[in-house]
Amino acid sequence: MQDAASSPDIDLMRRTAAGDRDAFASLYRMHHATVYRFARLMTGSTTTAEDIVQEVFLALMRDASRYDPARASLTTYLYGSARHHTRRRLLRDRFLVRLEDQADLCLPAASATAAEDLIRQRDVQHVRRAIVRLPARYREVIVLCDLQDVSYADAAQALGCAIGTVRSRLHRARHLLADKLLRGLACVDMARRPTVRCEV
Amino acid sequence: MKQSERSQERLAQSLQMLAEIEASNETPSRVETVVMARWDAMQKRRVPSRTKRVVRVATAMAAGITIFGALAWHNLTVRLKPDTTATVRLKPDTTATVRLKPDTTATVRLKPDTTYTTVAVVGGPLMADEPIRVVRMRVARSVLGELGIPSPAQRGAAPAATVDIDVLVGEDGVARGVRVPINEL
Repeated sequence: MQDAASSPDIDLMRRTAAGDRDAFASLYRMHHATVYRFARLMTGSTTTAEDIVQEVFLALMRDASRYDPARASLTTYLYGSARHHTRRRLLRDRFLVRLEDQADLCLPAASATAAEDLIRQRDVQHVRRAIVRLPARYREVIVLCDLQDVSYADAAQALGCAIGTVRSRLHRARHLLADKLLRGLACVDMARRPTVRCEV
Repeated sequence: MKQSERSQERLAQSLQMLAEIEASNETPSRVETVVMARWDAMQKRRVPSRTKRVVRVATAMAAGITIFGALAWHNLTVRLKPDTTATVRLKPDTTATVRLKPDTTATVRLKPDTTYTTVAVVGGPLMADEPIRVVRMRVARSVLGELGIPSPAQRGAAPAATVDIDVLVGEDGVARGVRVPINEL
């Protein structure tokens, strides 16, 4: 957890509450990526993540004066807000069928060969899909602790639960994720088998 | 190595890979443009809201002053209802004129054990069967001498500066007489 007293966020938040545009812009530039990545991993959609970033920062500009640094660091506060907006959005869109977001599949080429890139892309795609299919309470801890490197204490504050709960959910989430990945890869292997025509 | 351990290891590698990929993701700049535009719009809206707040405060203050004034006016006006007792307090050496509406009936209840002096006529003559209204007033003791009511010598205690007297008022609103309780002298 950040040291609340020494954090420049407190000063920026105070100035934002007073109507300082530059302070709000600085806050946005410091924290937008954190919120965006969290929302993107939680929803699996780039456009939804962009909407959530907007909603989180609109809420921040409205309620800047209500922020209490003694309760949590600004990052934790933003995670909590992003979680709230993400849940609301997922609840609202639960009956909609999402089109595959091609931007999610585009990965920067880092390996030596095209084959390695393809394998890497496939693995990451499977992991991403498996995470999105996890129940929300397990997805949150995987995203926060395993993908965003948030400490258990901060994750517990952002999720509004005990540290022990975070640990147990993380343990369960990893098992569920490993199961899903195993099954997903098995399905892919089955699909890649050549079809054989049988004569009777 | 067991299968579960292998799968966990593979999961850890995949998660690490995904985290590395995600770390390079940034919000598109158009989102910042939209957010800052909303900020500017909200700041513009705040100005009239401050004006509204000032107007609300001014309205509340005006309402408060009006209510206070009305209450003060109400307290200055003595309204007599039937079967009520009204005491008009005056500063020493002041003169009070009590006007009652012609259709108002006010009965002043006096203490049963009160003994009064004789009525000193101060205004017009007291007619027989004339309806009289009694108004209790607190006046300076010096007024008694001016009305011709002798003040007997006090026994021991210092005399009070004011005296409660009953003013008998005729139907035309003119005082007919004054009477003073003995215990006030």
